[in-house]
Amino acid sequence: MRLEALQQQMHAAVKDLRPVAEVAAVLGVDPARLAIYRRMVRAHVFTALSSRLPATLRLLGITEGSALYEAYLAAHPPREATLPEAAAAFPGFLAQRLEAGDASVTAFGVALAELEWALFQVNRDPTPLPEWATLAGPVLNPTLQVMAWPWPVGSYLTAHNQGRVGEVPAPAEELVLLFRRPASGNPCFYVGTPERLFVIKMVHEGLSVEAAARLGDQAVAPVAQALASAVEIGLVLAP
Amino acid sequence: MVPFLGHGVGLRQTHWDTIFDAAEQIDFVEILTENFLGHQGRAHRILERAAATWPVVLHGTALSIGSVSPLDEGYLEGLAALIRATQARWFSDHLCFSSAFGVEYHDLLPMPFTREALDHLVPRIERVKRIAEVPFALENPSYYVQYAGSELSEAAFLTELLERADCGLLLDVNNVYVNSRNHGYDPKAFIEALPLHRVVQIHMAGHHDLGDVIIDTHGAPCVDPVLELYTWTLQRTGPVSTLLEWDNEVPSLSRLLEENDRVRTAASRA
Repeated sequence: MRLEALQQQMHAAVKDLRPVAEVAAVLGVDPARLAIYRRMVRAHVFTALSSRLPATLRLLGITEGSALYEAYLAAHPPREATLPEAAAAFPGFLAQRLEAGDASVTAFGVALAELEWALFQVNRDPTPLPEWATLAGPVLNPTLQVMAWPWPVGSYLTAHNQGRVGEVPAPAEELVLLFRRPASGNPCFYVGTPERLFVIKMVHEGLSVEAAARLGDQAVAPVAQALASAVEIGLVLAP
Repeated sequence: MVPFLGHGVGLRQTHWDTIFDAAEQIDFVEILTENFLGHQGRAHRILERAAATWPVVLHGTALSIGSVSPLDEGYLEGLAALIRATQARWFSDHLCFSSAFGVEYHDLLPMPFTREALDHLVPRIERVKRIAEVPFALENPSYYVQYAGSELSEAAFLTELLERADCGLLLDVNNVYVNSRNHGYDPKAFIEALPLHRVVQIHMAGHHDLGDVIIDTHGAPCVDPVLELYTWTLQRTGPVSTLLEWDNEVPSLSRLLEENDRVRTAASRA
């Protein structure tokens, strides 16, 4: 058999285009052994999903054998050499399924997938973090992204990551702050609480704590505390 | 000739926070090309720090040297950039096809041992070698099926390929053991039939024995027969830079280094 024909056969087996037993007979190989490749190729995509979108998979009950996973495999074969990219199309895929009326997908699940994938993207953000010594005053973390969802996905994912998985919350606008921690470089996210958003505005506009407190008609101490907290989590970088 | 770098481990994300504290216990690191290809952010910082700390070698899984589809020029560009950025001593990938017809399998599908496959592979290896000044090595992969249409033995195929393409060999001793068990051959006779002067690096790893088949998982300690085969191999090759692979169920760094010491001890017996 020519090389191209052989690879077409293997492709058909691992991509489920033809039964493994049929391909095994053509190639003269043990079907049980050939099935190992089919299982592994399929499992790698699931690994990509479960490592990047664990909360989404848990919420929607997606497993290696679930219909939704099968549909994703068929619709979005991996095109990139890097394995995590095999999960890149998943949020969009869920959104399409939702629009098409798939009852196993929820709007909240789509939003959660978008947040989980955005968090992974922050991890790869090329923006350099400034050296502490070069800072003259507080600055916003340059990797900060502020994202909005019509669902409290940030609160839900925080609870999920702490092992507390509750009911799907009711729709409510929520801002989520995503950035890389300055010390470790690890990606993180926080819900955009009024205090954190106030600090973002304050630092963005270059206001002192006192000036911001006056502008916000607040006492100085809580504003200073909010700034200190923002520095502690890496949302704001300060000398 | 390539330098002897000692005993290294893979730079895995699980250990990014701790590995630099153990710098003196590690002789070199192997970077999985696809984990860092085009990556920015933290991965880029880790890469820079690793290159400043240890000698680096690159190891890929997605070159797909045996695919009937054209080589991915974008991948080669990224690979060349990574070689430059890390000042890698050499780079390697597997004798397999890991993508074809526009789809990535993220797995290593075996090549048939045929004359046509040899003719297909040689110019592709020559193309890959041209992307960098440092040596390129191909790894003998583990494989679970033997195509009925193969014309050569695996050892004869590998030998002719490496000689014709003037290419290095990354000898995975665990893979030799796994294949010998899965396909019923003598691992020592296999190794003796290889062009051992072309061995650039050795891989050691663990596997899972399912009874009727052994799966090369890189998710367990090295078994004693593999360590013994390694010692036996080094008696024929002389010292070879050796890397312990542990990619699934990755243990703590201290456990990984403990396992690497088992490999060192096996080398010291050679």
